[in-house]
Amino acid sequence: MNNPDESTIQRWLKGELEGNELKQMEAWAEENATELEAKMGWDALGDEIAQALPSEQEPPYADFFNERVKHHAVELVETPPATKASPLWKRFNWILAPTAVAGMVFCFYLGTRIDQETTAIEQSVAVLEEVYTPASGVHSEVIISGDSTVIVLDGLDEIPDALDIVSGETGQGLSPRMMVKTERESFYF
Amino acid sequence: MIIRLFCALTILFTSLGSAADLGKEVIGRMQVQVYFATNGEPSIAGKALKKPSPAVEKKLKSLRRTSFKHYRVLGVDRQPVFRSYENWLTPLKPSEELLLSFEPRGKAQSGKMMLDLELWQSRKKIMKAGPTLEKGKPLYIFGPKWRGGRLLLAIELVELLQ
Repeated sequence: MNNPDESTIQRWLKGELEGNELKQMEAWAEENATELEAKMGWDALGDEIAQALPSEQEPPYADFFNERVKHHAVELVETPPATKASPLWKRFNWILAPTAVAGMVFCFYLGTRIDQETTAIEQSVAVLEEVYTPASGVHSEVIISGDSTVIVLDGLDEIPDALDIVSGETGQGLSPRMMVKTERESFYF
Repeated sequence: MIIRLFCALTILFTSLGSAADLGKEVIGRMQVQVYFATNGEPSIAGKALKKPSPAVEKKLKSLRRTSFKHYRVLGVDRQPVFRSYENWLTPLKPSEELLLSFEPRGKAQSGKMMLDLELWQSRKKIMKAGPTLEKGKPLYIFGPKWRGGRLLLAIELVELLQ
């Protein structure tokens, strides 16, 4: 079958073809599905345009569409957005930047003051990393008293009153200096 | 003969010098003063004991937490700080009732020295600390009680050699 005309396709689509004409149309449609689809698309578009426009108006063409699109785009660019009345706080947006800068400067100043005070404390006293009291019942307290560091040891055994430490007396036992020396020598040799 | 002897002695002293232990190098001096602090009669510790200078007494009385009316100097000792060796302070010499051992933890930095410091009473170790001392800024320790008063130690780095 040669290419069917438009009216034949329309009649085929509406189910009006019969007999040999119907068989030929179906055979052509199977072999030329792409061409049929194109014809149907254009027809559908033509129908839509015909329904949308009054019969006396010419159908639009590509240049017309392009011009309208271009014109509309220019309008969008040139027309400023509608402005609303700003809330009260937005009217003071200009003050945000200087306020933020002032806050940063204030925080920086505080930081430098804290550092200086810490350094002053460190410089004015003997710094203690740790205090360890091995004897049970003995505890220590570290006090920063002005520019001095004080360790108070509580719970120590009292030195007997009878022991005259001023004149050189010492409690019984091995001298720790000798003890340490002996321990080191026995450990290393 | 004299020249040979001179050469031999030179070599001997040179070898001895190269083998010297740098750990025994003196890098500073530590001092401890022991005071008898009491609210009672101070002469109970000893009639010949001296009062500290007015400035020191004022300083001792200003220490918070534990303050006494009277102070007497019981003893003082000053010893070198070795670069990497332990040394001892015996402030009540010849008594060893109170002893301090100390050893630097590292190099002195910015005029400060970190130490291992140990306090001994009646030949027992009663405290171990790691103070960082600075010249002219003593560390005070209120230690054991004795004769109604209390022994107060002022430990100070009195010299720091570069």
